[in-house]
Amino acid sequence: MNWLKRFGDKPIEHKQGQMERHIAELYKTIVSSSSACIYITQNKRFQFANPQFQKYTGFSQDELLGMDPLMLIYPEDRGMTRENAIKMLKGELSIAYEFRIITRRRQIRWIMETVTSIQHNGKRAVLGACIDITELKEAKKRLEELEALDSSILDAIPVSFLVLRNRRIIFASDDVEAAFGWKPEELIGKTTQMLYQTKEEYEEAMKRTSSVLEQRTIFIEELPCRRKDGREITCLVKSSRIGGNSKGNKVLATFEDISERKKMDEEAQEQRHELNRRIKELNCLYTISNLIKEQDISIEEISKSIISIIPLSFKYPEATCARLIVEGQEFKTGNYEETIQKQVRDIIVGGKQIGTLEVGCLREGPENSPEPFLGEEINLINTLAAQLREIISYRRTQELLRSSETNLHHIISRNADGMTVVDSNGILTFINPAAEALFGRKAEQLLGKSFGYPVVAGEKTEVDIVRKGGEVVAAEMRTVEIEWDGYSACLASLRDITKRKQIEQKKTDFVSIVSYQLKNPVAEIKGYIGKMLMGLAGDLTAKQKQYLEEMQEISSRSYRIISGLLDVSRIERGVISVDIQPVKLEELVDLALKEYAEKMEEKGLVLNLEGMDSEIIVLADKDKMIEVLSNVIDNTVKSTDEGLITMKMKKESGFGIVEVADSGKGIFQDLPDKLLNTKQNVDGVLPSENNLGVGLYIAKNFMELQHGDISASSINGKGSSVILKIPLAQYEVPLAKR
Amino acid sequence: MYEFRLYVIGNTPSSKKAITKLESFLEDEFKGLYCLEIINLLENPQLADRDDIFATPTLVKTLPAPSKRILGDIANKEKVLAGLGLEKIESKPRDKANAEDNK
Repeated sequence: MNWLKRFGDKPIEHKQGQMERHIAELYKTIVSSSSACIYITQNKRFQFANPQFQKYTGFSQDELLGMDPLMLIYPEDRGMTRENAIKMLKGELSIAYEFRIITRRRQIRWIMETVTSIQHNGKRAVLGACIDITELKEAKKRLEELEALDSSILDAIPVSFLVLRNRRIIFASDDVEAAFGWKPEELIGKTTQMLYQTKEEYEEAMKRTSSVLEQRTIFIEELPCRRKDGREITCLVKSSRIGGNSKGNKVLATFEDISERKKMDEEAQEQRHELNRRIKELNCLYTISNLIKEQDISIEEISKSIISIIPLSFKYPEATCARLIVEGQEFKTGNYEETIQKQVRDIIVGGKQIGTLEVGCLREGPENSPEPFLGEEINLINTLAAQLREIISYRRTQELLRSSETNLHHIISRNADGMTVVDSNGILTFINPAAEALFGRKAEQLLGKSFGYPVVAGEKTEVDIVRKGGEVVAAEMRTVEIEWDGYSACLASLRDITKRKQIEQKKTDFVSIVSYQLKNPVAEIKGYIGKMLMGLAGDLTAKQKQYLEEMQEISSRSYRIISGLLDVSRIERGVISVDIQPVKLEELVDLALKEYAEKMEEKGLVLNLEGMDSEIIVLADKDKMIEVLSNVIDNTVKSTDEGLITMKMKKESGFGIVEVADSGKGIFQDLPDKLLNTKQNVDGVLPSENNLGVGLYIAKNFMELQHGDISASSINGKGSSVILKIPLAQYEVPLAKR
Repeated sequence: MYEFRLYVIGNTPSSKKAITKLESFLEDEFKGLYCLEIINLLENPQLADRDDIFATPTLVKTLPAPSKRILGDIANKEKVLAGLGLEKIESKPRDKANAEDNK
């Protein structure tokens, strides 16, 4: 049969009837309109190609006719395609084969083809039918790439995961072993039950997961799991369906061991609770410390506040009750009741119990713990009790202080002495009535005025008060640093000593007059005694001589006392003048010693002189200096019964120094300054036997007049030491004549 | 430059002694860069009212400001300098002090 004639363009004469023509037309229509490519080859040449084939290859019917079909095939595929076609034609291959063709526009396209052997124009021919599978091939390739990517992604996931199908494990990541101890191959094909702690938990988890995944694509929950070694862990399990189909039975489940994180979370939670408790405690203590700061708040108010805040600071506020008893007063929380679960602290102030603080717990303590209070709560109770002690003690002290201040103001106000308070800037801030009288001014005329900051070097000093109108009053001023109305200030007391000064002046004048009147007669008596002892009044009996010698001793002593008193009165009246000249120190010492040589010899004292040849020239009033030395030597000889007296001369720091040391009683023990700075025996009616105080007082004043100094020290029973300092002459000058 | 004014009454031996000591330590401390004016209220009684002098001896530091005054023992160097707010002078280097005072 000529196939082409039946379907070709040229109609052929045929005896068959109308029906056959009709069928032929039908085939022709089918072939022309088919979306498949249809062609006929004969003798390796195209004989026919339908429009779809032409469109697909890009060649027209005319171009195709006579073309070798192999030329359309991609060179690499030609051999394989030829083989497949032959196999199919022989009936050895039943499924379509694929190969590539090159279109007229040099594009490579994939096609899938079947071939059938037919008769065309009476000869064997091949009917080929093919479809374009280029897009299918590309889709496949993309799919393969995606699968490869999926696999890479799964490998890259850093958590353990399983792929389940129908609850069976079909894939397990390598990390599963690290999390559960199971090797992936030990899990494949099994359910995940072995990863759960109990079968029930597994079943429940599966039910939950299935139920949720029907509604959503992912389900996350924390689950208690078990490792191969039996160790229990907590995992965060994320289950998700593979594919969008809710009915899909493939599930990807990731397992993340969060045991450590859970533990840390729990610890953090506990720390938060702990911190909250601390905050409560601190809040409690802070509230109390604020209460303390309020100056005017009473102990009663403080107690009430403390009772109200105690429960809030405890773990179970509703189960905490408190009672505070202070000085007989009771304060308690509304829910207070007697309970055996309580902490009681005594409040002891000044060694005396003045109350108790009791905190009770109205609920059972935690299991395994007989103590209903936490350690921190007990500490808080201790701290509260201590704070209460402090507060009450502080309040009491404040009350005492206030009372003391009131008393102080009272005492100061009513004091007979003038009292003034001067602030650190020298401004007068208080003045009592006595001081008002002393100043002859009213307080309002003085307060706020610049009085001058009172300065007293020793215990007291003398000042002159200038009254309104110019009258002057002598006052003795004493000062003390005080706190006045919360600020540091100076309290200066002023005692009117005008009368005392007048009496002293009169006494000085009297002493001066009496001494002056007595000095010459005594000197005369002394002279007459001397003459009598020399035999100028005739021979003397032994008894007469003895009496006269005693009289001479008494008159000498009286003369020295009177001279001393005269000196003191001159010092007091400021009428002593000095005649300072360069003079050899050793010469002065030598002159002073002469008077005492005999007495020292009588007492058997050894004199040790050092530095007598050191040529020390000082600036001094010769007579005053000899008197000073005499006074010092006199005291030394009197206070030393045996042993050594040492006199040492030297130069030191611009001064000539005379140090007089003895091995006597140590007369300056405890009171050298007093002896040197006050006329101890002058203020008394009569001088003491040895005239010690007067001598040193005179010495001190004479040394100051000569710009020198005197200091003394003693060790009881081991002797005394007096050091005299007198300025050195700065350059060599002619010495004054003796 | 430091300026001081000392108010005294009369010329007693004790006040003379105190003034000598005051001059001595002012010289020692300020090396000539000071001026001390001594006012005897017996000779100028009107100055007591004018200058609000209620007792003597009162030592006033008029310069540098602020003015400060003390009353009592003017012969005690440490107490006087502290009372006049000059106690830090001792730690001040001499050259620097002079330079500043000269400005």
